[in-house]
Amino acid sequence: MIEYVHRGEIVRESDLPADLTLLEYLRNERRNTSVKEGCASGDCGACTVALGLLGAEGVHYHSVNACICPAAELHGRELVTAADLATGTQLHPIQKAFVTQHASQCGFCTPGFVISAFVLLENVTDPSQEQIAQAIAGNLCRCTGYGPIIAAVHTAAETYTRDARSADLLSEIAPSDSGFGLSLPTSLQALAETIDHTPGFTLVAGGTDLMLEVTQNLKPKPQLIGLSRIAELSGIREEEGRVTLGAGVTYTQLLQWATQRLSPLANLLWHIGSDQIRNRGTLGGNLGSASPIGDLAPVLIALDAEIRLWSPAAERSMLVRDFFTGYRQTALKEREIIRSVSFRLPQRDDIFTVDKVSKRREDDISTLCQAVLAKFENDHLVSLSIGLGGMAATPIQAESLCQELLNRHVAELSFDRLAPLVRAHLKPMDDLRASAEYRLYCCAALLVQTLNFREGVNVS
Amino acid sequence: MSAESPVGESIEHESARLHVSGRALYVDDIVLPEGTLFAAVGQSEIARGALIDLDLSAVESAPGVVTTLRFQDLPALTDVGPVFPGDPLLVNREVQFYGQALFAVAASTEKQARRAAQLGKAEYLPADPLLNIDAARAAEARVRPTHQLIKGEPEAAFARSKLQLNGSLQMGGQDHLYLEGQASLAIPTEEGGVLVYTSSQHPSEVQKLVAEVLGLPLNLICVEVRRMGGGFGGKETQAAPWACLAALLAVKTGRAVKLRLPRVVDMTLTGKRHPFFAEYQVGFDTEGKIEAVMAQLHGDCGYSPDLSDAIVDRAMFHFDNAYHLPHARITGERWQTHKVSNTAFRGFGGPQGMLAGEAMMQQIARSTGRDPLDVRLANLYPAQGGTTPYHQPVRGEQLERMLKRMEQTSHYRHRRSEIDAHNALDGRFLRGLALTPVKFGISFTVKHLNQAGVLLHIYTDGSVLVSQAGTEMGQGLYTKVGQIVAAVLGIDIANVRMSATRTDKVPNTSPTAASSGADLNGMAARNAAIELRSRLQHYVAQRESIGADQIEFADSKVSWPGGEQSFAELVYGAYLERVSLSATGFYKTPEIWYDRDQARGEPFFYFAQGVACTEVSVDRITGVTEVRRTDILHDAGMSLNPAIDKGQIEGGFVQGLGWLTTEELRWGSDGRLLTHSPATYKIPAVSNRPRELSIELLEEPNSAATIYSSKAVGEPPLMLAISVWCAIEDAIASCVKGPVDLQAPATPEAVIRALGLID
Repeated sequence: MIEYVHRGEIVRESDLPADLTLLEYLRNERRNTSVKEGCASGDCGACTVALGLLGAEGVHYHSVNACICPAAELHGRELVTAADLATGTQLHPIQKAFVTQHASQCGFCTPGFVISAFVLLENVTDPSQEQIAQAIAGNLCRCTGYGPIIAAVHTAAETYTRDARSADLLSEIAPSDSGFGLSLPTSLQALAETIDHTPGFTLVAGGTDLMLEVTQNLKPKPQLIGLSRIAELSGIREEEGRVTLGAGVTYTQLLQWATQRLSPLANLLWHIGSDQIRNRGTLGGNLGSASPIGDLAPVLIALDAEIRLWSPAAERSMLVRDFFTGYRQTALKEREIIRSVSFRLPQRDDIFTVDKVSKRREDDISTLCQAVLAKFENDHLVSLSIGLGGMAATPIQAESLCQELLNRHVAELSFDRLAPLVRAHLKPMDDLRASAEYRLYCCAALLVQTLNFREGVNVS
Repeated sequence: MSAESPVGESIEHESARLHVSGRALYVDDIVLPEGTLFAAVGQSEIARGALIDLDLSAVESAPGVVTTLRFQDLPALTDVGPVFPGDPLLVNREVQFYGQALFAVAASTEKQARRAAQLGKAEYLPADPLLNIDAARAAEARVRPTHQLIKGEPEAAFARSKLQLNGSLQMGGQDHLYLEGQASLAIPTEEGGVLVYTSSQHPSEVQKLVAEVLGLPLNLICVEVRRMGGGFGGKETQAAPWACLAALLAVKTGRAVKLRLPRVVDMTLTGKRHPFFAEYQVGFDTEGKIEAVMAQLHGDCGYSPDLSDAIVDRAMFHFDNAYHLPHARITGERWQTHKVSNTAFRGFGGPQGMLAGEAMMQQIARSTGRDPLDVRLANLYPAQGGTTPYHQPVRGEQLERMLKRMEQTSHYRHRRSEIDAHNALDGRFLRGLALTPVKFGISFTVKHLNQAGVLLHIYTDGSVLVSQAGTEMGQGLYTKVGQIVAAVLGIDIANVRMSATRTDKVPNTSPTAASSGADLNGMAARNAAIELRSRLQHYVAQRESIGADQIEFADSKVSWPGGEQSFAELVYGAYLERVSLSATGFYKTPEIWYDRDQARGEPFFYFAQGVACTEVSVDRITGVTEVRRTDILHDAGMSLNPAIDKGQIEGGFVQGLGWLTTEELRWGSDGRLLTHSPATYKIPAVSNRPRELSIELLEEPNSAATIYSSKAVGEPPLMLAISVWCAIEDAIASCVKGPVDLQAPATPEAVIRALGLID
C-alpha cells in the first residue's frame, strides 16, 4: 500500500502497477485532467506536479514530470496539481497573476507552468529574473514567447505568502518497504532482502531515463525496485580535500553543493535537464544507465573519480573511466548497484573547466560535453585529464591526447597546433545533433580556450 | 462606440481562468461514454515501396483488441486529400513515407491499442526514396505544376544592370509542436451518424471527410471543437485523418472511439512547414537598388499535394516582402519527396519566400558595402505607384515611416558603430544587428474561403450565446468576437458566452487560418449583433412610439429620450412580444481576386506590417547565438485587444526565432524522421527569448474596411524573427570576406560553417 497526502487528506492505494506513471494514475484513475500529456518523455513540462516532502523546516515542495515518475513514488509525499490550488472558483494568487498578465493562450501548458511557479515561490522569496527563468526552464510554451509568464510570476511574487499545509498529515505516514510492484527499500539491508524476493526486477534511481522505456517503447516493467529512499545512498561528504557523493544524490542536491564548492560543475548542472528532471535524476542513475550522452561521467572522468559498487555480498571500487564497457554497458554485475563516487577536489592551482555544447541551452542533450582538469608549472602543462561526452559510444577519457599534450609549453597549445591532434586522437560520430567535424572543432577550440586563457574556476 | 465598449480593451482571454486552474477541457479530457475504445495506428517501416502483404493476426489476437481497420475495410472514400487527391487514409499498395499509416486498431485501453499497433507484420518491395529537393529535381518529381509570376522584362533588365549577383539559401522545415497532440473522439449517433470531438482548425472539412469516408450525407455528421492546445496550421488539414479513423472504428464497433497520437507518432505522421531551397539572380545599381530579379523557390512538399499549391504560391507572393522589384520573374516549384506531406504552418510559405528576399538584401549590402538598412530603405515600395510581382498596387508610405521610427527608437546607427568597434576587437563573441520589415498579405488566396458565419442567440435573461465559424487555438479569437458582440449590443462581456465551434450551428465554414479569424468572424458576428439590435430597436420604437435612431444600447441598458430599461428586461419584453432573438450573421471579404492563369490580381484585401530590430551575440567557439535585444513595432491596425495582439506578436516572434535558430529537422538515409520528439527537436525555451524585448503597437486605423479598423495579427509577427537570422548573418559578415553562406536554421554548427571554421 502507498499513502500520500492530497487536498488535506491521506489517500491510500493498494494495487498500483509498478510501471504506472504518475501521469496515467492522475488522469485515468483520479480523473485529474489538469495534468496534461505533452510528450510523455519529460521534455515539455505540461505534466508538472509538485511533491511535498517533510523536512526539518516543514514541508518542502519540488517539481517533477508526472509522465516519467512512477505513481508509487507518491508514497509519503504531498501531491499538489494546478487543479488543487484554486478553492472552488476562487483562484490561487499565482493563477490570478497568470490571468491578469495574459500568460495563457492555448492553455495546454499552463497548469504545468503554474506548478513550476508555485514550487519557486514556496522556496524563494522575491525571486530574481534569473531564478524565474530557471524555474520555468523545463516548461515549454509554444504560444506566448514566455514574456507574459515571466511577468505573471513576478506579479505573484510581490504579494506571495507561502502555503505549506500538510506537515501534520505527512508525519502520520510511515516509510514503507514494499507491498506491490514498486518496492522502496529504505536501507541497503532492506534492499538486499528485496532483491532476494524480487525475481526479474529492474532498479530505478530517479527513472528519468528508464521510464522512457515504459512510455516510449511500451516495455512493461512489472517489478521495479526504487533506490530513492535508501539512507546509505544519500548525502555528500567532504574529508581532507576528497568528496564522496552518494549514488542517490539528485542533480538538485548536487547543484546545491557544487554552487558552494565546485562552480564549473554547478554551471554544467544548470544545463542538465530542468528542475523537474534534476529533482528526480540521480548521480547513480546517470552513471548506471551508461548513456553515451550522460553529462556527469565526463566530469567525473576528468576528475579521476572512483566509483564504489555495492552488492549484498561485497563492495568494490574502480575508476569511473573504467566503469563504462560499451554502449549502454557498465562493469556492474548482477545484483550490484552504485553506492557512491568520490574524487579529490581540484586545488587552488588547478584549472578545471566544464563546457556543454548543445543546440538549446536549457534541457537539451549534449552535442559535446567536455571537462578538463589541468595544471601548469612554469608555463608547462604538467598534468592534464580530459573527460568527453558525445565524442564516442561511451563517455571517455581522452588519454592519448592528454599524453601527447603533457609537458608542452603554453606556446605550443595554439589552435593550429591542437586541432590536428584532436583530429588524430578522437573519432566522434555524425548524428542528428551535429557532424563529427563540428564536434572536433568545438573540442579543439574549447581546449585551446581552457589551456590558453586559463579560464578555469578554482575551488573556493 | 461608447466609452465602455470592450473593443480595444485588453480583456482577459475568455478561457484564462479555466486554463490556469486546469479546468479547460481538451479532447483528451472529455468524460468518456461507457465502453469507449482506444485506437492506435500501425506505421510503415520503409519510406517508399510496395506493400505486398499485411498480416494483422498478431494484432488481432493481442490483449484487449476489439477490431482492426485496413485499407480493404474502408467502405467509401479512401483518399482524404483536402484539395487534391493523394492522401490515402491507409496505405493500399504504395508506401510513400516512413511511418505512413498502414492500419488502425481499437482496443479496450490506450496502452493495449498502442502495443497491438506494433505487432503488424508488413512485407514490402522497397524502392529508393527521394528524400530532398535535389533528388526530386533530378527525378522531376512534382506534386503540382510549376507556377510563375512575371512583371516587366526581368531578363533584359537584369542584363542591363551594372551589378549582378547570384545567391541561394537552404531553409529547413519546422514541426508545429503544438503542446496538445492530434486527438479525436468519435461517438456513434443515430442512423449511422457520428458526433466527433476533435482538435482541428477546420471542423467543416473534418465533417465533410468523415461523411465521405463513411459514405454518408454531411447532415449525419456533427463536428465540435471547443479549443485546441495550439494549432499554428498543424491542425488545418492534419487533424482530419485521425477523426476519420476514429469515426470509422466507432461506426464499425458501435462504440465511442478515441484516437490520440502520442508525441512521437504525431511528429512522424503529420506534416510540417515546408523546407525550401531558394535561388536568385539579381541586378542592382551601386546603391543596391534592385533593377531585376529572377528567383526560383523550391518547396519540399513531401509525398502529396495537401495545401502545397497555395503554400508555394504564398512563398512567391512574399519574396518581394517590402521591396519594389521593377522587373521580376518568380518561379515556384512543388517538389515531391518521400517524406510526410508538408502542410500549413503560421505564415503558410510566406516566411520562406520573405526570408529568401531578405537574405538577398543582406547579400546586396555585402556586395555594395552599404549598411543593410540603407539597402532596404533604398528598395522600399514607393508611396505611390508600386506594384507587386503579381500586379497588386502597394503603397509603401506607412512601412517606411515604421522603419524610420524604429531606426530612431532602437538607436540603430549608434549601435551599429558600437558593434563595429566591438567586432574589431576580434574577441570570442561577435555581435550582429539587423532591422527588417514585414509586409504580409491578408486574405486566403483561395477566394471562396474568405467567408464566415455566426449564429447569435439572446436568451430571455439577457445572456448571449455566440456560435461562430472560427476555432479557438489560443489566439484569442473567441475573446475578440465576444468583445465585438458585447460592443454592438452595449452589454457587459461577462454576459456573452462563446459556444464551442460546431458544424450543426454554423455550416460550411472555412478553416481558421490565414490570420483571418477575427477579420471574418468578427465582421459576421457584428452583422448578427446588428441584426438583433435592430430588431430590439424596432420593438422599443414601436412600443415607445419614437424613432429607432433615438434609441441607444450602452452599459447593459437601452435608453431613449425619457426612459431606459435594463438589457435583460428589454429582452424579456421583446420575447413576450414574439420578437425573434436568434440571428445569423455572414461576411465575405470584398474586392479580392486572383487570376492564376494570368498570375495577376489583387489576392490580398490589405497588408499587415511590422518592423523588428534585433541584436545578437555569436560565440566563435561553439557557434551558439544569443539574442541580446529585440525591439518590435507592429501594425495591428486599431487593435481589438492590445494584450492579445501583443501576445500574438511575442509568441509569433519567438516561434519564428525557433524556426531560424534551434529547430532542426533531421531525417535518416532511410527516410526515418530522427528528430521526432522534444528530446531531439528543440523549440525555444525561456532562455531563447531575447534578453530584452520591447513590443509596441502602431495603433493606426486600417485603410481597408475591416472590423473596427483592426488588422489581422496571427501570422505576420512570425516573420519579424527574420531580423534574428539577418543579425546572425551580420555578425558573421563582420569577419568573413565575401558573401555569407548561412543556412536556416542558423544552428551552432551552421554558424561555425558560415564562419568558415569547418568545411
